[in-house]
Amino acid sequence: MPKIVAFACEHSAYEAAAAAAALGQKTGETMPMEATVPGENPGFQVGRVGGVEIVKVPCTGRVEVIDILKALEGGADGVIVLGCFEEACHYLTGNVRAKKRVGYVRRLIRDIGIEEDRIQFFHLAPDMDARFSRIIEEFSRQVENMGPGPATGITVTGIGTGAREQGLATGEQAQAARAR
Amino acid sequence: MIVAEQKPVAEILRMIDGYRRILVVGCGTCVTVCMAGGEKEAGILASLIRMAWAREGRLSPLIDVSEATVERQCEWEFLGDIAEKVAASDAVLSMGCGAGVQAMARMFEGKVVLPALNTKFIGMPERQGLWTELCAGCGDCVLDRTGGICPIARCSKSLLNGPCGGSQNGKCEVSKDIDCAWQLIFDRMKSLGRLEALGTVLPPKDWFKNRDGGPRKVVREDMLL
Repeated sequence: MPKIVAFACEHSAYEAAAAAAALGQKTGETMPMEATVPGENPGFQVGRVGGVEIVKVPCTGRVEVIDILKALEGGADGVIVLGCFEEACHYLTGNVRAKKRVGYVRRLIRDIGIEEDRIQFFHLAPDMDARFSRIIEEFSRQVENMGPGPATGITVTGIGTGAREQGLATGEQAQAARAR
Repeated sequence: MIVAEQKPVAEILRMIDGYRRILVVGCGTCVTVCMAGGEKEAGILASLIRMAWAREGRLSPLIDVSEATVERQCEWEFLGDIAEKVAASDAVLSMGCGAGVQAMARMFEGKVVLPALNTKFIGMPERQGLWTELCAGCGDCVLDRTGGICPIARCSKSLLNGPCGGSQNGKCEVSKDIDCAWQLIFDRMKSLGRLEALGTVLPPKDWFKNRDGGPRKVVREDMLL
């Protein structure tokens, strides 16, 4: 299974992920949910549902361009941002901004020759556990067909969580990682 | 403030082709505010370069793309902080304005300093994500006579004594999205009750204060040490 990082709004998509995990709706197997741990980005929590790394965020509007890039650079083959439906954002327009930002990052990676569909945005409501599972399945398949992601061999722990603090992986870190 | 925008990534990649150790340097002043070359943008660009190179199979232990941000690239005292990192790089990719690029090129003699931004103009953020040119740095300000609205920067023809024939319904003939600067000046002077001042003909502008004699200098004798 390709490595997927999902930034999920705690007001909607994260609830859907938790419900999906509870119901074990992934085809033929369960989607166990691991307890989340605080990320280094304030307000971010990292956990896993099935094989997907879930970064619980207070609002998708909190997800920055660099967070998405760091997830890719750190080894993700695909990144999805899962936010509330329009008009349903807890902070009014965070999801709309996140969607625009995802569009911007898609253009950025396309400019450097990386498939833009490695980054996608989806709307979810808290009770949409089935849709969550379907999104993960379909996205995983799409990403798998694209082959390995654009990872640079730079070790970034807690993908998405420490993008600005610890994830500002420098070339020196990259060198150190490669030397190991 | 100075407003700039990032060059297309493809152009930047062509520019740094052939170098192996790149230091992307952001600037914490104007270009941070216009979201073109601050700490965030330096991080994004460095990440993109690393991924682009990884995709091309160019990553090796000799490759190093890192980033640093200084408070102001256009002042010597802030550049000392990154001297070591600069020394360890083959090329410096500046995300500062044209002044920042040149300040670094002068400070770090013998080091290739490349521009990652196109410096556009002196202006202000009109709203989030939109910046507009307001000042052309002409060297001889006329704002006292034009109600605080600059005809040099904001009139497409830089006219000094009223609109041209292309002004229609308050818009410039160049584009319906451009306000006619002279309409704005007229409206403003009217609201200030100073319309009669517009009757005074402004003499031809003294452009010697603009581009004459090479790069301009500002000297404050009392501040010189």
